[in-house]
Amino acid sequence: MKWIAAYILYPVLFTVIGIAVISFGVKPVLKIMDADICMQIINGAPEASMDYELQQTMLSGLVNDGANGEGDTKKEQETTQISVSEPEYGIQYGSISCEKAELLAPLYYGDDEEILRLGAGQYASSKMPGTGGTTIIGAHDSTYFAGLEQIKVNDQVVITTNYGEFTYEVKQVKVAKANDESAYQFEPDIEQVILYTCYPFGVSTYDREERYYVYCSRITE
Amino acid sequence: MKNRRLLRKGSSVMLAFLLSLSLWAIFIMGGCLNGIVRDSSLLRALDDSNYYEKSYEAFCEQADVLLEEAGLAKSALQTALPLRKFYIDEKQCMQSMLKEQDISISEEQIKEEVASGIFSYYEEKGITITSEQNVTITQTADILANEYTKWMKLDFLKSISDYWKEIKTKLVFAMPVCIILIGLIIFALCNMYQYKHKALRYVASGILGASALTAVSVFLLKRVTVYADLISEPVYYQDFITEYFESGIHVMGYQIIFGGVLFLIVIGIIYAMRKSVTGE
Repeated sequence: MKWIAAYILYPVLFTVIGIAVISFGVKPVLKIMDADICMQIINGAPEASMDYELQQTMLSGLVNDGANGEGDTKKEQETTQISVSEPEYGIQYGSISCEKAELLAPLYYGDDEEILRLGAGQYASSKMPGTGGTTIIGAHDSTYFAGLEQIKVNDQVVITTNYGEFTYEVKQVKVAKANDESAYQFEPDIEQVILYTCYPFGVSTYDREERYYVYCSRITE
Repeated sequence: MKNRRLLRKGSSVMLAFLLSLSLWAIFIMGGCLNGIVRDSSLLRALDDSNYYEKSYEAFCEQADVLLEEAGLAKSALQTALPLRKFYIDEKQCMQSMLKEQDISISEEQIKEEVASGIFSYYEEKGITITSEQNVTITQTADILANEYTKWMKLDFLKSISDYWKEIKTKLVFAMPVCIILIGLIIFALCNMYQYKHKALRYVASGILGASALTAVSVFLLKRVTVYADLISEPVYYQDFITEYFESGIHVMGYQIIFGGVLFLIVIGIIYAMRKSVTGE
């Protein structure tokens, strides 16, 4: 009986409890390492490039000049807005970059865990870039959006898609609670991009309650 | 008396579980330090996945397009830049990159070699080169030399090597801490029992538990870590990534054998000690 306990029962018990302990303790660290490694594999490829699935986003509809018909001469309103149909969920349709913050990430449609492992993800219920309204884009703070920590007001953020290139200027940076809905209010009259990531940067706790928001308004082409 | 025995048993099981976790950590760290974290693993994976040969084929395909656009013969390049040269140059560049040394490929030299290779090719065929073709050959050689030096680099190698260097410094600190912890646990267990072989039974359970945990970890890593799917092109890069991570995980798996050997040694010691106590 003693040897059954010593060499079968206890090792099985240690294995089962060990898996639970390791999953709870090590999993958050492994997730961050996994995201880091994914980014290095994607960026380190020979001829690494931001190729698009051209057939996924079709340029359709009419091009309108973005003027609201009330003689508004604000700089932000002189941009061209277009209509595009949304790509398939999980497709990479562009890239997002900010030279000053050394930020460069592939841009996907959707923002689940698998997508954030590969790059930046657009919240699917937000508008496509360049079509007017608010686009919400998130990514991990330890990988693709690590550069957000260095981003400042007036820095330019460029979103390049397979239907055009759109430039935005950072207007505001703030920290807010993750469940604070006022931090990402959709503004129908202003074309803007809201970038967000976990805050504080680089901390490998299981769940962070705060988010780092960067608000960017579209500027003249 | 019974309560004291139960308390001793409970403490022994808890200490054995801690021993199991500490040994698991040592096995995983040892597997990483001997495998995936080493620069030699990267170089071995490049060789085993035939990265150099396949990247040469891809380079030749790209060069063929350039030569065709310039109106030059495609097979002229293979005389100027044969596989052997490409293999040696690329391998040297990868090694230099990892050692943080300057890459020694001279673009000017490559340009001269390509140009003279193309000229030799046409000379052998008995084809006279016009002055216009002369200029085209020189320009094409310039472009090909520039492309050649780009193909010598693989950004992933440097970035992952630097990443592992940071991890290594933490592992090198954590391993002695785990070893000291294991020593303390074994010391505490032995002090709890008059007959030491009884304490060593718990140590053996801990070793078996650690080996089982390592086996489960390796199994999960193989199932969950599908890095090759991140990149569909080029295929040779995908093969290299697969080879590199699979061989790293296999090295971790070898730690299970080490755990098995350790277990057998402890069983042998238990048997010998029990024999000396019982006089059998």
